[in-house]
Amino acid sequence: MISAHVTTPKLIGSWIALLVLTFLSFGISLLGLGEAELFIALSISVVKTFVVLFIFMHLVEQRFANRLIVILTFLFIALLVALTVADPLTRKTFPPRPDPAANPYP
Amino acid sequence: MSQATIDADAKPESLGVGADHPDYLRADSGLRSWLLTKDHKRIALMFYVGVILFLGLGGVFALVLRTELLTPEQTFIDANTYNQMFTLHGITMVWLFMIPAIPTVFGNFVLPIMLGAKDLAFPRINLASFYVYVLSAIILLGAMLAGGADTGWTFYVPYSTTSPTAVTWMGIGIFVNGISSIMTSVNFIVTTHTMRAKGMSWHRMPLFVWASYATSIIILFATPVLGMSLVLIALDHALGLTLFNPRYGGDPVLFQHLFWFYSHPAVYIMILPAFGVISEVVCSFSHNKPASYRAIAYSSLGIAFIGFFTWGHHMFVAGLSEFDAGVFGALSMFVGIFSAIKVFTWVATLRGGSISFATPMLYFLWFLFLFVFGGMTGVAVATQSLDVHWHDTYFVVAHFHFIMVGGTLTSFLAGAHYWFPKMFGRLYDERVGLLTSVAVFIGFVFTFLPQFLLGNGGMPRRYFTYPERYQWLNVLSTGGAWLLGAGLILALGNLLVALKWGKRAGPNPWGSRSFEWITASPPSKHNFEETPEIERSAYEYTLSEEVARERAKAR
Ligand code: HEM
Ligand SMILES: [Cu+2]
Repeated sequence: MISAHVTTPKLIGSWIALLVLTFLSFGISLLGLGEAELFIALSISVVKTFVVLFIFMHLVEQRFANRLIVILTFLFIALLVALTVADPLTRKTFPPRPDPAANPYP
Repeated sequence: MSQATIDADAKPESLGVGADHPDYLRADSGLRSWLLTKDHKRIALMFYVGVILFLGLGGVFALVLRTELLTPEQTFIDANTYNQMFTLHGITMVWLFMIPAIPTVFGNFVLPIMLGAKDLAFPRINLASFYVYVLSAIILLGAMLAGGADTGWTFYVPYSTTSPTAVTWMGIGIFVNGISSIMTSVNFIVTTHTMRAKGMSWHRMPLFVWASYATSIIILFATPVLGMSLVLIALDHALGLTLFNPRYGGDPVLFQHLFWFYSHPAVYIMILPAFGVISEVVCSFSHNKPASYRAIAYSSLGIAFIGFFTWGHHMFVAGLSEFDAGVFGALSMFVGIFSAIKVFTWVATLRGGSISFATPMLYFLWFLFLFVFGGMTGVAVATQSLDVHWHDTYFVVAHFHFIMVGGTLTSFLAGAHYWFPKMFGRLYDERVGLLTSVAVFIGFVFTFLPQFLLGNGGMPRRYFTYPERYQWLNVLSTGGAWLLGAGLILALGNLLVALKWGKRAGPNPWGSRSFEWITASPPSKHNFEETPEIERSAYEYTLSEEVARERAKAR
């Protein structure tokens, strides 16, 4: 990992991986998994983001300190999303918001 | 008096590094040489003018607010104008004064010199950051003229999406302002990593550099979230996207999450640079090394880190879930730990020192008292059971002004006096400096101490009338505000007079060991001819001035 180098075969390999992941999220959207769908789709795009950052943007070749910045950034987004999502998920004292699909406006 | 504070063993024969070259103020002349300069010191001065202007403008808004609150009923402006005034006051003070003030003025000026560098790593980005700041100011001023805003500086939905005022342009202005912050912070981070003098290890750097570094990290991580949230508000306001409308599956509290994910760290963007100034002032004026260098340096990083975990304490009564409220309440207490570490270390630094009571030192004392007071009330309002009572009352207004004005503004003034000889090569009048400092403190206490009582007594914030029983405290507060304003104007006047008529300062009037003082005051255009060689830390007060200079060799 220390002297990892982005070679053409690796580029092509990750390109194919990105394509596969794209089709995967499309395919999963057809399964009708409800709430879980969002979570799966977001996880797939996180994986794709890291492939782009580390391979296409040559982050694997960098010093660890530089990679750390990107990892930290990701953790901060995870923090923002986690504690924000935890809020509506644990709101028990309030009536759940009406499902907009069930009661379309007006 | 001013003689008394001059360090007795400062050797007058050395005029400081670069004294044989024309100083940066005289090295080039003409308007062009200022407007297109890449010299960090000149850019700092241009920022100086900018932030002082906006401190003045924000101050005028504040005085309008306070004057309106002199009587229980309408005094001289109507409710709408009042709503505009507190919004414009908040926006101007936060984004055009507080956040840029210390980093762009003192940071730009002294940080490269402290590191032994000729300039910041990216001088052009530095200049660009000034013009981006000016652009954001123009947009914000334009928006103020074209309708203003009446949402409060927090832009809470749903009102901000329907307010008939210029919310969209305010959002854009603040967005552009964030770009300027980010440019400065990237510059500081890269400079600290790559431009340090020979032998300047991380633990030899002046503490101001650590504080600026920690601030830059927060700016880098938090500002994009603010930008994004304000873009959402601007789009919603302009195009009616109903992003946060529950009718369409939105959630107004989501906006508060996004806003405070930036804005809580932003309060540390405002106070950490102040901590840096205070650390320098304490050491220089007690002629003593910090009681614990690492405690001060690392607690800055600790605050920068933990500051990201507490944003929910602004939303305890906004419908936040009990679980989240518990988590955020507990996490908020950790900030208190790091701040306390700093306070105790500063106080311990005084011990055994040889203290000289110049104006910056007096501001340090005010800072200590006011910051501790503000910080303690912060811990109090982060306690849910108490916050239910105090939220959205004057108690909160008093709390954050104790930190922002009592903490940051006093350190800004401490820095303005402390580095005045460095920046302009002259000494201000110490007697007037001390007097204005006392006026600022008394004015401050009269303005904001009654607001704690008002808030605790139940007076809500952001109302322009109030029941009669609150009047006497409001009168005190308004009187204090005028005194505070007068003190600030006199302090500014004192410095302006000293610009022309002040005594020559010599390179190191305070007998400091920090590295910015090894150059001439004012420094030459390029600070150093070649990279200095550093063989000591920034606080070796046990060494004589000569030996100290010998161990920080520079040409
Ligand atoms: C110079 C003396 C100052 C005075 C007399 C003053 C006065 C006031 C008053 C009366 C309010 C409350 C308005 C209301 O809600 O009814 C207020 C709010 C506020 N002030 Fe100050 N202020 C001063 C300095 C500052 C400074 C230096 C800052 C820098 C950050 C600042 C930041 C704020 C903010 C952020 C608000 C909240 C605005 C809002 O949420 O509505 N103030 N100030
Ligand atoms: Cu906060």
